[in-house]
Amino acid sequence: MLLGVSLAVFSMLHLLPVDPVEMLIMDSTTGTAPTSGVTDEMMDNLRRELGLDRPLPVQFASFVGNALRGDLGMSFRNNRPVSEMLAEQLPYTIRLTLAGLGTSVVLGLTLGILAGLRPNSWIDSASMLLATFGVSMPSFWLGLMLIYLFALRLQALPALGVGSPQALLMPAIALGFHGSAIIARLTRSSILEIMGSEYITTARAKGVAESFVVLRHALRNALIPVVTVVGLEFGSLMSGAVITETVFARPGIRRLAVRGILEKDFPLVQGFVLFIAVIYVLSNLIVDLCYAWLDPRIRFE
Amino acid sequence: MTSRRYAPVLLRLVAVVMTLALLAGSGAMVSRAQDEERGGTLTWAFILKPRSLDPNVWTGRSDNDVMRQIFDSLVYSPAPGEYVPWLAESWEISEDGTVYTFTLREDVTFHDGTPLNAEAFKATYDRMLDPETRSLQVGNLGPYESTEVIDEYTFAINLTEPFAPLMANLSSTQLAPGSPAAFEEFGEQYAQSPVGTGPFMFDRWEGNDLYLVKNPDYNWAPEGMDHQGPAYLDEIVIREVAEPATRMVTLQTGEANVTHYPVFEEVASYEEQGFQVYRADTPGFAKSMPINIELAPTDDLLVRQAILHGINRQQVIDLIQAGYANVANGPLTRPSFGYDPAVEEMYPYDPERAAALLEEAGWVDGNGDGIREKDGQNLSVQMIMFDSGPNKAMAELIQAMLTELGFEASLDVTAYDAFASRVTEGTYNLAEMNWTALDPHLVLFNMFHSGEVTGGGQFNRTRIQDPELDELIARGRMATDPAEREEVYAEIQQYVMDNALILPIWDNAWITLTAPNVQGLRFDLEGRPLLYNVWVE
Amino acid sequence: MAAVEQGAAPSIAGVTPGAGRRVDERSLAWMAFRRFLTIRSAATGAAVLLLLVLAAVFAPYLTPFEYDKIAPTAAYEAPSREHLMGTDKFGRDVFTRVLFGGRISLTVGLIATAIGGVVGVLLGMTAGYFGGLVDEATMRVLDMMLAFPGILLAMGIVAMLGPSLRNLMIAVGIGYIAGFARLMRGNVLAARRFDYVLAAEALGGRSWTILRRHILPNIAAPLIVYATLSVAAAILTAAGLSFLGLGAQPPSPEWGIMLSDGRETLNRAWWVSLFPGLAILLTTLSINFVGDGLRVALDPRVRGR
Repeated sequence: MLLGVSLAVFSMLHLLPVDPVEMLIMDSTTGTAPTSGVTDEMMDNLRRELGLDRPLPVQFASFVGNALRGDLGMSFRNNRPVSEMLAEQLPYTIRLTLAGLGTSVVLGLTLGILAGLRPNSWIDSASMLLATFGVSMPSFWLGLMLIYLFALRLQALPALGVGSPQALLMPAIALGFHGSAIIARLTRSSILEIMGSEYITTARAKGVAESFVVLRHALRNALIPVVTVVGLEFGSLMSGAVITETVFARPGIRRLAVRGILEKDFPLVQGFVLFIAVIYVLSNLIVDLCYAWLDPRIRFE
Repeated sequence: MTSRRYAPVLLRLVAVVMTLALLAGSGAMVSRAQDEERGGTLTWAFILKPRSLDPNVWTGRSDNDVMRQIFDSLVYSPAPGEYVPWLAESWEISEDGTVYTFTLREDVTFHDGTPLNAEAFKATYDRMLDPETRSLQVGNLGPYESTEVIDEYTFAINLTEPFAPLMANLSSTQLAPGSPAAFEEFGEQYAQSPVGTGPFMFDRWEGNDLYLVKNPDYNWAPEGMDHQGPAYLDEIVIREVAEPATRMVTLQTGEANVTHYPVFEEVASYEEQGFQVYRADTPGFAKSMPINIELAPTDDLLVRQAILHGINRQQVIDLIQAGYANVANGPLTRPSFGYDPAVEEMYPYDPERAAALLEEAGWVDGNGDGIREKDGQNLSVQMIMFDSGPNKAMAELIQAMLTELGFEASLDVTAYDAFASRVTEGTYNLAEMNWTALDPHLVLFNMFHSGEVTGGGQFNRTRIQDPELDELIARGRMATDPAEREEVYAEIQQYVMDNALILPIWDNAWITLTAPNVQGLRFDLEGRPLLYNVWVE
Repeated sequence: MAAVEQGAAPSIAGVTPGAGRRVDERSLAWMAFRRFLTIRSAATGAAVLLLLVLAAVFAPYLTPFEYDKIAPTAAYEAPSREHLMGTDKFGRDVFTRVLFGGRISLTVGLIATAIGGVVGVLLGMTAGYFGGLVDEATMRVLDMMLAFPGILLAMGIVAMLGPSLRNLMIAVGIGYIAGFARLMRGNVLAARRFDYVLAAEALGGRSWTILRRHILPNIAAPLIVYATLSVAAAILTAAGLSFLGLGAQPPSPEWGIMLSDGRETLNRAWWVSLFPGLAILLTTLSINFVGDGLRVALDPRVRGR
């Protein structure tokens, strides 16, 4: 599958009707060309030095060959190893992803449990309304509004999403609010289902305290679908949250990749996609392991 | 903004700050004790993480703002065409304009301790020429032949033919010397850990933040700086904040005390709140829309002239730049070497004149749909633009203004690559160009030389191919007498505007905002901040 | 699932296949509709959505302004009786632009979902019904699509085809194929085990007939729900891509572009980006309520409530 993903991204990039060398000579701040006269000769030289004059299959083979040895190549524009660039930005991405996921899970479970325990009450309606808001809100817009309100108007939080622990708060909310809706809804329905089932009734009949029942039995079972969502969400947040990173001026591999696409920095984009595919495979694996832990029956399937 | 000629670098300061700057500026009054009190950390909310800090290889408008703090040049240019000693104590240009001999100061060292000598310059320029370096800056050396080391502190640059822009290029960062020891040591990594002779030294990267520290040994500032010795600031932090709105907010929250590429609409209100607003008008090619003379209907001079008369440029500046720029009237901006004020009266905003020109060309709105026609064809023009800074809004506004004139104007705003391929295809009537450059030769060559219609970066977006114009451009490059060059450039400007090859919009102006307590900021000719003189109170 | 950011489809969790019985379709639909109307949030959502659609359709009659006509002297006017939502930097009426923008956003949501839906359903049905090598191959491709970062896929497609509204719809649509296909495959696999399908097969029915007559109607419910939620997610994704400059071209009043253009001047003129943002929120919120309502109304298990 990883090979397939690599081939897909490689073909996509080389199908683009663009010459990466053309992009290479552009000034990214003002969009103009550099102040020196760029000649055809210089562009040919660049093309040769970057290995872009080789036939496509050769380029692909060398990319795969190097990738197997952990070498993702040199970024065209930055003239630095792609793996090094990714590694440098990775901690920021992981931190934001985990913070966003944390927000999703905490908010989602809380809302879901509240709603599930008192179905059809006002708590239920309010929780579900909030959750639906989360899924309907453009996260970049939420981010901008948060900055406007908390950083500029109230001056309660820093505008930049990096540097201190509280700086992570707004980006985490902007990112996590969306996912919390799904988790809340899943938790609610799982709890509803389980609360009605026989073994909870049995537990209650045995006189086990209500809150203990919820925690011990219902939650554990309710967690199974939640784990799936969290796993999927982890993969997609790792690759996806580019606008949140931009709005809050956080470093991250996603922005790196988007810039790579805009600037036709092929090695960077290929390296990123391959990396994300690996993350996707790994997070699926972890989800499976979590299943096994939460529900011992699965082990025997 | 009146239309008088501006000083080369126009600093627009709040009155109070002006007084302070003047006080600080009179060198004699600054005692050593005061120097020691001055210091602080400058945190710069920066538009884009610097991608490379190697001035000999890479340029980027914002990257160069950082390079200027780390690298010194051979000469300093206080005004267009004027040069004073910096790393070079003196120099001599041979009669035929092909040999430039420089004598260096003897007390200069690079940040890594390597002494600055003639060998360092040779190493810098030889490295630029090496294809493996992939330098995009080689063009600055012009018809370069070799660097000849005459003695420890004397060297000569040999050219194959005269190249008038060389001194201007030597005063910019692109030909600034780097430490030969560091080239060896860092190799490909040099661009991330540069070693120059400037007042600030590269310290470290933290995430996307770049840290520079004061060079304690610095004692070779060019004449005309406010002081000698090391810079005042202890540290400079360059933090990438890509989102313009967030960049502005960081000044309010105190997370940064200087920023650039502002949200223009908000600059005035920041000024009222006590933030300082600096504006630097720079030499080079004005922000303009080159007009394709090969594609109908802009192959007709009357139509091009109608466009020039019909666009209210002051209104474009007011709405897009909140008034922070001067109306451009020709290809070169006012502070450029060789700028000819004669172009100023050629195309005043005059919609009636524009309508009359279009009618003269046969374009009338016969069916009353608001769009002019001729021979059953609508008067349609295709605008192309790439999405960067004010470009999109500017193009959208000009599109609306063309519509008012009776054009059917369509606009494609794309990323630069798609824009570049449209330029190659020639499927546009109006494109974009702006270019800050100390010497007018390169920008005029790139924009109007017949050889630039294809190949290279394809910068001749007007697609004019005229041997007469090529000849003028060549003369401007070879002439060693500045007065002769000025004459040639006046002729070129006249030619361009007579033929209405471009729609000039505004003279490039760069806005920098600082917190009220940031003092002493000034800019060089290219509009790059010189942080050497800055301190935080 | 952070659909705004990366073009992912809404979660398929919680969308279950119908129970394994064939019921009279018309009475089922009627019952579902009545049940739908009793859900307060769903009914409200449907009403608001209807209003939004009507407003978009009759936009030219609801405002005296043109959405692309500049009036430089009227730039950045605060909301007033004349300009209900103020004016933008070129003096254009924001209310007018929001109304016309609704046409674009709703169209994009519907067409992108249609693209993803048709291709995804066909793929998923084929994979689920025929199984074996077909299934294996399809799922491999789908896995790859899921592993491929959504926003990069969309950006790549837009970069390849050029930024325009049409290409934006294609890019977003392609991102939804995998979700639809997975949902269909799962449901088809489940439906294949139903007695009547087995019976139809035993009687020698042709595959496509069985798929169309017996399987599709039974799994229509989750599909409708999923498609509804997809429309909302597609609107968000499209707005996000336009926000990045990869969508409609100026002077189009697409909501994402308006939001993106107004974001710089939030401090000076909050109305320029607040109202398109609210418009997106209101639209997706009402579609999501409708979707949730459908989920409940169409799920036979919750009939008792």
